[in-house]
Amino acid sequence: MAALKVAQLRITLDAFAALYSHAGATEQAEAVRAVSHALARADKLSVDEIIQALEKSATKSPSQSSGEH
Amino acid sequence: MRGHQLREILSDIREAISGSGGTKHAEALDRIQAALADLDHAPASDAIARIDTNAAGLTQPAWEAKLAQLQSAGLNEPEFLRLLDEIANDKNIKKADLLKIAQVYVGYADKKASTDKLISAIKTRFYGKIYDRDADEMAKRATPW
Repeated sequence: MAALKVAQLRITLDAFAALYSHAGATEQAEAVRAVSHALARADKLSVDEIIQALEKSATKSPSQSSGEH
Repeated sequence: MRGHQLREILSDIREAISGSGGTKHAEALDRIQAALADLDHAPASDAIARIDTNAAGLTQPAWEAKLAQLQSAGLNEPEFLRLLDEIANDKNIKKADLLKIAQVYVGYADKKASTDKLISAIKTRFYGKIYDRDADEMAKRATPW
């Protein structure tokens, strides 16, 4: 079975962004679009490759909480 | 929006997809949101920047990926210093690569400069940005009369 490509996952994300937008959930729509956009340059890669990179950077980076307290 | 809210949205999508048989997509979204869990209390933009940086890292030449990381660190000093240290010690980053990084980050870099000088120029540019930000903030706080 062929590996899932980032481009294929992005089609799903874009569809959900459109659904959120249609339902008036603008913030959610924008967030999903931003995730899709961030993935765009890896379109030709398999989803596994980007996930492995993300998992690696998650374990490498200390908690970067710059948030509210 | 915070990181955990972004993860909740991705989880909602995952649930909707898995209900309709999109197992591979659902599993992918599950792993993506899990890999962002340490950014739950950070702004969602940090999580998105992580995705962007990693996508860049996989598709760009090493020097471009490092430059993108430096730029996405913004004015976050510990993160900037960590990345710069990583660049200085990365054997895959040759002097020619460092020169390209410095040329874009600083705006100018001497081709004859040593590696140490290029690193130093990048650092100087970073602290210049911090200075500009602080000066702007002071100017905004100044009482006009």
